[in-house]
Amino acid sequence: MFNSMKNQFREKTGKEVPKFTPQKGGLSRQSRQGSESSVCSLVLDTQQPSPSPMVQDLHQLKLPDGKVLTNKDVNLLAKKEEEWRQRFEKKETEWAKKLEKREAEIHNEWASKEEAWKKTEQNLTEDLLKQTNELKDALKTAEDFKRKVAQYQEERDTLEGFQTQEISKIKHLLLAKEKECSELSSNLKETASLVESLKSEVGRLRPFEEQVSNFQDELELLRHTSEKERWHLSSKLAQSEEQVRHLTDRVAVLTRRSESDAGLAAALPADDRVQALLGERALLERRLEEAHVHLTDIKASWSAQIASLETQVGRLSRQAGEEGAERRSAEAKVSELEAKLEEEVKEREVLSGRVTKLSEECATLSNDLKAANNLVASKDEDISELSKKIHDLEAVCEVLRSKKRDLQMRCDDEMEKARKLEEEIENLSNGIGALSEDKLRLENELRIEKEKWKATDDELARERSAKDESLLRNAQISQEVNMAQQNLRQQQTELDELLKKVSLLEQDMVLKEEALSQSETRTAAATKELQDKLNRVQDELESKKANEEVERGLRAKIADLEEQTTEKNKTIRVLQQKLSDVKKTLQREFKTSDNGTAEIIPNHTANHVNNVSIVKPSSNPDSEVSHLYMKNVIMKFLTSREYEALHLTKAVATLLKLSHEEETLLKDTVTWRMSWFRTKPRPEDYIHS
Amino acid sequence: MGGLFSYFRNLLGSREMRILILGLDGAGKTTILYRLQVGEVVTTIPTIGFNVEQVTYKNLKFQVWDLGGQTSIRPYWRCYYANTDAIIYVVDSADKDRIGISKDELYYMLKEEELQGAILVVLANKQDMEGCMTVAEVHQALGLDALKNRTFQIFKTSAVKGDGLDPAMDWLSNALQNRK
Repeated sequence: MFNSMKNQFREKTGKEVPKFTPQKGGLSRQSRQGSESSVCSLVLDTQQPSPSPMVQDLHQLKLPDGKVLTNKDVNLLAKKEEEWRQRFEKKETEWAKKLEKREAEIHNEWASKEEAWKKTEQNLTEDLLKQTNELKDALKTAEDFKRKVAQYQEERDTLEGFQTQEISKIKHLLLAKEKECSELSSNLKETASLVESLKSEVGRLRPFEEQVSNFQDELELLRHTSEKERWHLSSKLAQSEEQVRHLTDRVAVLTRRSESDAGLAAALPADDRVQALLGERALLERRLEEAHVHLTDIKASWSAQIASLETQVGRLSRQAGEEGAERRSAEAKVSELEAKLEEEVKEREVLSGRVTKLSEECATLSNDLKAANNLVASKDEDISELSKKIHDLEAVCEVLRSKKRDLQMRCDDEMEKARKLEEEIENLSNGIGALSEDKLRLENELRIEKEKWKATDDELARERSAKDESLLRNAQISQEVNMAQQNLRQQQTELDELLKKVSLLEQDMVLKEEALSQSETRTAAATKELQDKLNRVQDELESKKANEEVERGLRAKIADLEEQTTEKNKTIRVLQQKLSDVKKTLQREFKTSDNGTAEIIPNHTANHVNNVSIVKPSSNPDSEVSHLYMKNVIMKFLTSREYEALHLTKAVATLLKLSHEEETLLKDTVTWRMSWFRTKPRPEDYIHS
Repeated sequence: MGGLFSYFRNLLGSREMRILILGLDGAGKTTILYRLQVGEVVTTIPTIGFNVEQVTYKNLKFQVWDLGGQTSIRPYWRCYYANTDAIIYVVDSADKDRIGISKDELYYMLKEEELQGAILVVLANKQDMEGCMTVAEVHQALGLDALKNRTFQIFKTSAVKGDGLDPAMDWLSNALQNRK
């Protein structure tokens, strides 16, 4: 009953029941209270309001039962209520316990679930990490492959570059060699043209050679003729000399004979004459012998000459034979000369035959002489005849000599001719030699040219071989390039495979990520709470940090402010000192002005009438401004350096309306502060001045 | 010897040039002073009093005095005229209303006996503002044609942008060195 009521009440009011119960327990008191409270009010108001609560209470008790409740019932009801309340409390405690239990269970379940979730999360994260590691490895390998590919491409590029460079080098070399070849061919052409020109010159010069040879022949001929003439003259001279000698001998013999004849005629006997004749005969014999010896000498010389001539002829014939087919005319001449020579030889043989005959005749003559010697004593006529015969013989000898000379001359002519021929042959041979030398030179040149040509050919062959080698190298390089390309292709295929693998792995990744996302969504719910907690904690931390920062800033500011305050305190102390100084000086000034004459004051005013009129502003803000200005200027004056203060003295004097003396005192004081050795200016000195 | 002596004299006795920056209030004197000293634009308040700074420009030392330009403290300018080497007179090119006052102040100032030897540099400042007067107009408005026996030059500047200050300082330092 009451419970339902309580519930109803709770539903209606939302308040707890215990508030209601004391009201019930204190009904009497309430009434009393009501009465008491209404003691004053009851006097004026009606009695209705005071009983109404009672009635209402009774009504409330009545209405549900439909009965009137007595005190006992009330007590019983109170007891029951207490029981109920106890029960209720018990139940409440039970419920509370149950609730706590349930809460604990739920908490446990939550904890276990959280743990399970954490485990699953950990597992998933581990899986994720593993997969990510795998993927990273795969990525690394892929990057390695990419790098390799890049390297291969670079190598390929470098190889191509080398190839092109080598090809260009080879081309360059080929061009250079072709140039050299063309130069050499041009050189060859030039040399060929030179050879042709030389040949033409040689052809042109040949007739001149002939002319030269003709002239030379003529010259030689002339020389020979002159030589012949000289020889002739010398032979004539020798002959004449011989004749002279012979004649002198003869003269000597005849003079002796004449002497002997004279002596004979005079007194000498026949014996002496015979003796003289015998002496003459002996002399003549000696002469004859001398002549014989001379003859033999001449014969010997002739034979030697003949022998030498024969040898020369033989040589000439040999040379003529050597001349060969080129000089048939010369051969013909030589043959003619040979024929002549043979004729000459025949003639010589004839002559030698004659000589032998003559020698035989001489022998016979000597025999005759011997016979005559035997007959000397008898006949001088025989002697004269003999001498005549000797004369004849001598004449014959002379004729023979002349013949010999002619022969010699002819021989000389022949010799000269032979010499000419020889010279011609020599000239010819020289010409031939020159020609052959030219030929040899040309051949040598040709050989050199051929050698050069061969060298160039060799170079060309070498160049070709080098080109072939380079082409081979090129081929090799291209092969290498092809190989590299194949490798590249393989690498690319591998890469593709790897990329496929990567894509597969990525797909796996995606799948796993999806699984992960699912698991994450699952975990997200769990983690969100944790994150919230974390966020809360972080917020707290951040707020704390912010507070700390603010604190730090404030501390720094405080430190700055403290520094500033200390500095300001220092400056204030300095200023206070200065102020005290100024005050002192001012006091002194005042004292002095009090003591001083009254004449200064009008001066002051007179001096500063203008300034005062300018400075003193009429309006109030202007006076504030001027006051502020004065304050600032004096502050600056007091705090500034002496140098600046010196410049400020005038402004300060104007602002403070100082007299001229005061101003100078101020200035001097400032300068005294600036200077090192100056004495401090005394204010007394400036008052009277 | 003489060269060495003069070198040492230059080294030791290089006197600071005393320069005053004058002009009406709000013309940009303080901005120009700190632009010259630190090369930056500083936020300024109206100068009641003065600012004095050492400025080194191309190995020349200047003691630059920036005097407040408000009407009530303009009369105190004359207290600072002694031993002044140069005056930088700053004109607000955008303030066409007060250009006449600026001209009057300039001529009052130039009449002073203590400033007869001072070099004058007129800066037509705030050239970055729209509708400002050109240099020629400022020249005309200040009546600078009438100036005689005075070394002076006018420059257009913008202290905020930092334009035109270098040529002006170049000219000023050259003029000061030539005068020495």
